[in-house]
Amino acid sequence: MIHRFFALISLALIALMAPASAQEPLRIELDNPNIEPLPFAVPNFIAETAGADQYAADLARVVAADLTGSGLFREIPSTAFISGVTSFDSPVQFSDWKAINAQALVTGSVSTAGDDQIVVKFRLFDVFSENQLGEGLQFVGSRAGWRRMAHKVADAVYSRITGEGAYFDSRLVYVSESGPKNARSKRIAIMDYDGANNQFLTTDQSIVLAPRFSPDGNRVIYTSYETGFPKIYILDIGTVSRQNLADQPGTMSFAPRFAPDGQSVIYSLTTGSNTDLYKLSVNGGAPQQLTSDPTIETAPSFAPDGSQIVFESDRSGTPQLYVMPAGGGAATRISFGQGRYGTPVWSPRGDLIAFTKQNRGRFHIGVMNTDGSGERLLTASFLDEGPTWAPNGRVIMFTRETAGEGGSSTLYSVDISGRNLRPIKQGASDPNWSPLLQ
Amino acid sequence: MFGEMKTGAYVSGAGHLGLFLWLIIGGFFVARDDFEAITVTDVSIITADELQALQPSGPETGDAPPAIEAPSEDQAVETPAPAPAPRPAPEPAPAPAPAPTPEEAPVPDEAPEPPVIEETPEPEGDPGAAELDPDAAPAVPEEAEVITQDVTRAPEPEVEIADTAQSEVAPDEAAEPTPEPQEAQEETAPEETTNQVVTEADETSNSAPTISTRPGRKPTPPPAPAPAQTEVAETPTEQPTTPGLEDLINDAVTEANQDNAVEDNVNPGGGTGEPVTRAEKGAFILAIQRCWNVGALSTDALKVTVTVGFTMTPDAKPEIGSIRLVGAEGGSGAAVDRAYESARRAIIRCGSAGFGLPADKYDQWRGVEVRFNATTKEIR
Repeated sequence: MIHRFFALISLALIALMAPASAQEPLRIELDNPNIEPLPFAVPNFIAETAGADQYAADLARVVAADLTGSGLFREIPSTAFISGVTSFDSPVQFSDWKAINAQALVTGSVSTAGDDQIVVKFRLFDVFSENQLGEGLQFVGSRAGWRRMAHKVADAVYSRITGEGAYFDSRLVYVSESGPKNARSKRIAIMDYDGANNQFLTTDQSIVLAPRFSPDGNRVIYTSYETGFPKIYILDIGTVSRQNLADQPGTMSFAPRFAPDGQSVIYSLTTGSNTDLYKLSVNGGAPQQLTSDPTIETAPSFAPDGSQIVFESDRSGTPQLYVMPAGGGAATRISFGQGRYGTPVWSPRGDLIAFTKQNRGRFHIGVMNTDGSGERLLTASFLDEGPTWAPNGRVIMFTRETAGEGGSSTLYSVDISGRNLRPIKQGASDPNWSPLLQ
Repeated sequence: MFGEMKTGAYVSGAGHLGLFLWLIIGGFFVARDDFEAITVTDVSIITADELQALQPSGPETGDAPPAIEAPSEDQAVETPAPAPAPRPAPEPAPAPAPAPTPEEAPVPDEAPEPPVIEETPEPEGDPGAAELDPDAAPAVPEEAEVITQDVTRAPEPEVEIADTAQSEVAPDEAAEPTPEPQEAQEETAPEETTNQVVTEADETSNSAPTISTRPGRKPTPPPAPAPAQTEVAETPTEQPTTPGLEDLINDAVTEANQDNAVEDNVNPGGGTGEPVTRAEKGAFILAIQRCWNVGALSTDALKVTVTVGFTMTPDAKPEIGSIRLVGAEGGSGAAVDRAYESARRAIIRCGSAGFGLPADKYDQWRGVEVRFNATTKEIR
């Protein structure tokens, strides 16, 4: 009987194990994904009130332009649509969007409220999963600020799909250039990141250089030659009032940049034939000398946590990049490749440093890790220089100048992967990207 | 007296019978309990760190992307999701393109547009800009009141992408007639380096590669073994010949389908079908990979490898509700979410028409686990 019992138990165990083994999954590995822009569709937003028709169309176009301009998305033209969106709350016909391979769908509506307000709503759908990605959002703002609201929508879509931080609702300050190369007038100007809403902040009576935003985006620090020598000024964007900074007779100060806390600035000061880095409170006081080498130290940039500074120095014989503590001290060289390195800028993420490199008669914009490893060159041309980071640390903008007497400067942007190189604005140089607008 | 003894015998007999029954029946259960209690299994002792390392990381699902903060001056409120689409008879998905061969490089749906160059240089200053004089009364920069559609400037006339640059040449009607008039040709320009990372070695390169430089997913199977020595001995007059390409391919296919059937998928518990062959497995990989696009993933998500499990219907279509994240390596929660969503889209997109796996081996591929390793495209 015991034997029979054991036999029954054994058979039962075998019977239980057999189905488990049959369900062992087939395992495969994929390691060669495609790198293509993700197809998406943005039908015109629904105008829910009279007078909102133009906003409905324009909002959708700006959202689409933002996403397409990132290089990570590809818009499916409306002519390919099988079905439209007639109501913001109507069910989405996913099969129609699948048929045109739209992998993401943005629907929205806009309505006017009061004399000067509009209300913008949107939803994002993962078409093939037939799911809504995140919750729908609603923005209320002034009619004049409709472009910002479109950028906000695009920022939300971009972040939800990619996982990157947003950057569309931001601005650029740059040097607007006009006239021939040998008599070019320069003015500081500000515009939306995509070139819209351009406005001048200074006149063309003197040469201006290197405008840089404060961390809150409300002030700009720049270098002006209006006295014949380079001097640093801080300009309040809201009031267009300015103040001179670090005015020491007989010296030249330039290449300023705000500290991450906005309470101090770092810059280069030339006394005689020597140029060193100094730090100064925006409220005045005595400047703090950070370097004392008998060479040229310039183009300083803070790490986002404010603990370190990367700068350019020719103490080794050629311009190279160095990192030192924010309070000064021993500097460590981080660039060792062939050629000359300059204009380093620390990424807002803190993981990379962008720079300009000159080698074999060509200029490059590149990135490297903060210890100098992993150098990658993203561009190559007659003259590329002056990189600046988007608020999310994914995109770099810089100046590209063409050769010859008729050459001009144009702002370009490029993804840090090296893809999506595209011009942003002609007749412009020395860009600086603001933080995300509040 | 005898009756009393008989009664005692009955009582004694009943007691013994009860004792025997208890020993048999009760002992039976006791013995079974003892059998379960003393079952011995092999165990190994691991440390707490090792146990931690065995735990799967990452969230279970990627259905909860981070909420987006609305701007402070704007009010952002959630809007309810619309009801699911009532489509009793959803339209069939479009017929998928035929599976690409392993030799083909991925081709985007549309050729990338040439960089948009402003058509004409801007005049002195920017006519569309408002000038703010620092000496003038303070003014707050205002955003445009007029809605403009000038998001991007008009592109230059399209030029054909070519390896070398050449100027546009039009037929010269005023020129002296020649026996062979010069034909009109389109202006061409070298392709911008917009789709590749320029490195020191690439400085002289003016065009993007036309095919992937990565090795193929599957290496070419080794050629069939050389003919046996005995055969040569039997035909000494024949010159030894190199096997032709067709023979090599046939041999390789035969080897792949028969001798080298996928052993790592052999069902140890048996099953109704034959093992999935290497060729079938390779076709399955290509079918999913065709739809796996990480072009819109963050740099962090490109560092993530996710393993996604799902079950399939007998017609080799994925059961969407069964798709789940089995495991992840190399990234944060948000990055894992994005990587998982990308993998999920690939399975759903290319699985909508079925993966074409052999029906007689359904037991072998009913459950699938796919490891999506995007780190090969990581931006370093």
